[in-house]
Amino acid sequence: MLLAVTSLSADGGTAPVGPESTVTAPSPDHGPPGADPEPESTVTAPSPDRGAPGANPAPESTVTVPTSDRGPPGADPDPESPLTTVVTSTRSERDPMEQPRAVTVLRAEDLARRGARTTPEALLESEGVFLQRTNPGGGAPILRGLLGQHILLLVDGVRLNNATVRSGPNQFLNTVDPFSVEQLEVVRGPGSVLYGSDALGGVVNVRTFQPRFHSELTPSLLLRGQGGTADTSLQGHLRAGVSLRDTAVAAAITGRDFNDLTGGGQVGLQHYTAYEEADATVKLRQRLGFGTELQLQYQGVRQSNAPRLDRSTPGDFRRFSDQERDLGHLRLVSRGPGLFRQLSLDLSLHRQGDVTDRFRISRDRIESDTATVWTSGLRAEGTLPVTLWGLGSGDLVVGGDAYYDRVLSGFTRLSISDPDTVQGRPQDARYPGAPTALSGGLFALLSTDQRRPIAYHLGLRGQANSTRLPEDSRLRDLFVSAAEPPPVFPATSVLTTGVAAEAGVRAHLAGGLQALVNLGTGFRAPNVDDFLRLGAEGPGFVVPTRELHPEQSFTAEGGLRWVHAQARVQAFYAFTTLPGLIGNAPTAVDGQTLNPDGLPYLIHQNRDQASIHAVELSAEVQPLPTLRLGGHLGWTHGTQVLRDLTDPAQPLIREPLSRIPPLNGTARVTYDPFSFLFLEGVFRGATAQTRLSGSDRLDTRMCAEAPGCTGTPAFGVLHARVGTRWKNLSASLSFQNLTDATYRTHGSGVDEAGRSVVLSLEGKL
Amino acid sequence: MLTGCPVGLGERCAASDECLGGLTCRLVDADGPGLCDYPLREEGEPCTTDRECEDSLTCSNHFTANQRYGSCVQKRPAAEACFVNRDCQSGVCQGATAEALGACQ
Repeated sequence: MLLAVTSLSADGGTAPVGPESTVTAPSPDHGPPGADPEPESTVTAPSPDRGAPGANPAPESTVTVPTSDRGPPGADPDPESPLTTVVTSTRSERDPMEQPRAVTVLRAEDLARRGARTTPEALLESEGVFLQRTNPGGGAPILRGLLGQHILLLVDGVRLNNATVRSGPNQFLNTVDPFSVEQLEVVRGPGSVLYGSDALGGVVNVRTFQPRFHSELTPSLLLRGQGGTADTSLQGHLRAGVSLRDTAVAAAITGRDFNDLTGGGQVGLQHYTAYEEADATVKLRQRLGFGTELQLQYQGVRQSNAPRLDRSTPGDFRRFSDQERDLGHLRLVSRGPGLFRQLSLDLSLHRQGDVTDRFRISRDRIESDTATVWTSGLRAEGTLPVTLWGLGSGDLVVGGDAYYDRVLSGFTRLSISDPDTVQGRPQDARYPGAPTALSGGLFALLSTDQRRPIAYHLGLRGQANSTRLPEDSRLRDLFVSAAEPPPVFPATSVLTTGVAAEAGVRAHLAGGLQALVNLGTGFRAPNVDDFLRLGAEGPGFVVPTRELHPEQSFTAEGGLRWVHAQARVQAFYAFTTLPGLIGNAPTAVDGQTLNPDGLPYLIHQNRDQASIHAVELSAEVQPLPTLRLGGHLGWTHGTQVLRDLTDPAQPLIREPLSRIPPLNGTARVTYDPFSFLFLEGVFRGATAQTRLSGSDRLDTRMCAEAPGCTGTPAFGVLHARVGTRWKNLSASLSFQNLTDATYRTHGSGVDEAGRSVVLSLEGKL
Repeated sequence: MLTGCPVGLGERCAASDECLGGLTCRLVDADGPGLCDYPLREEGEPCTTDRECEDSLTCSNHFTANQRYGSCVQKRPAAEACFVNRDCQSGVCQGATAEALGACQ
């Protein structure tokens, strides 16, 4: 079924959804955002042709596009929620089904329904996303076979990735309060044109709640609680706001307490998995007149005592004792009838810090490793309406960004028996000498009107990166008596450039079918962690190197998307080749391949070649008005070619890429017998992953402490959910892992929850 | 500790009753203070690594290929299959590789 879609003025029902949203003009008479349209009714679609607020809207042009506005087909959206539009892939708000790229979108309601404990956990059942978790305080999305420093994480458009994002999984996404999430947007495939370094496998942008103006009809008080039995967790969230005509303020606090997580029947209670967290957010929106709006926000996260399960046993355990994040973000947005349809300026100051402690009781010491990264960010962006001969109208987004990271780190050794004995050991610091990183880039992305039968997009970025590294004699000092002592690395500035481009075409074929073809490149400049890391990381003990050069990816993607009133089906295939991909490789130091603790020595190395095939399938069908069926399937195959650094005389090694997810997927049945009630059954599963890299085989997360490692076993798990809504109150109950299966996702250091219940309650005023 | 409240993982302690429920005070040495930590697992309790088990025990997952989940079991006598030295009463496992079990001496 096709709907008639009418372009309205900018405020006509499209509520602002984040700092990246377009500015909406005051309009006291429009309906509530997200109001459920009747079938065949007129709904608001993002329209590149629409006029600027305050200006006369363009004559209402009725065009015919497939219905696909928000949520699954036929879903009854939360009347308080804004329409689902996606901004991350093109910087213009567009319907998810009208995106030129492969995207995954999750709304706050999805998180509540799933009983997600954390922001990464919200992605567990999402198409094209595989989630790795070293510990419950972590969670790294894997997109098209890449993770960690090869996935760019954003919060409200501001980079979470900094100069210390390490190889392998990280915990950065879990420093975003899931109760503050309004929408999670995942762009699968390279995103370096718009966002610069690191966006090789994809971009995850977390859009958090926004205060609303008086005209925008939004609750001024929200209270949410969630409890789970698997970890006897308790979480609470309070949000309050003041909404005036031209001023809106909102503040939120969240407290969360997680106890040890009980896995399936075979593993039981998993020690070293408890942690606590407190979050605070304050936001201001102020209309300044002439279509200009000021947005200010502060986000603070304090996560404490999150142990690292895979590296902890009684008597010798590690934990992230403090994981902190503070973000100050100013955004100025202006829309008007001038040359630029929209101009925005973002200034951000981000502090991300962690304290990692290792408790070695038999040695009477606590080793405390601290790192703090201060990141100053600037981004300016403008959107010009353009008319292209033969291609119709479109948007040209041009801009530039610059980020400056300053890294501070330290290392102390404390005596357990004598608390007054604190021994500073700067020579053991993770990143000695306050290294810095500066990047600056210019970009442009042209995308034509996506509603036309054939739409195009074309983008380009150029970026310069400078990483200042100190003199580094740590490795030399460790092996000063070696037969061939390692070198002392001199102080230096590493200058690199990155170039990214993308081009794509999307065609509306007959019967709601779309075909998409995209070519794109991504890049990543080696960061401070790549050059300086010394110490335990992942499965081994990493030693520093200076022999690294930028990574580059080249991706070709083809997709089909079929959108119908009762069904949506998407299929994407992507092939990525990555010359110079950086990863860990076993190496020898002073002729030894293992350190005194028995950990293998690893070094960061540019692979000679790596390539990844990825297939992503998803479908949602609504055979009855009250019944929805959905599911997705993901398959990835990755290969790398690397040098054997333990024996340079050996030929190049061709092996599987590290941490490639197995075939995995989800099937879901949702029954909505009444508008106030839903029942849902979910199956999630994965086949065994037996394709392991040499580095994977050294990793206890993938190879158990047993002979004959063949990888991660297959799993299948069932969840059941029920939820209800009455006026401003809603509740959902999730019965997790009905069969009490014992399982972990490939690469994870912790087993998923066993049979358990999660209860979520929410009230709004 | 100063307030008289029990303390959590990694906090200093002198005796186990100072630690939160489920934790024990693991001492640096017989005389010294220690830190609150999880107790070692007893025979029959689940484990994924031998270091979770009491010193006299090992983890049974060592004896099955690609098995992550096991339970704490008694160490094995001479001639029985083993994966690491800790599996053996003698403390010596010979012939074990990453792919195959060896035998206790």
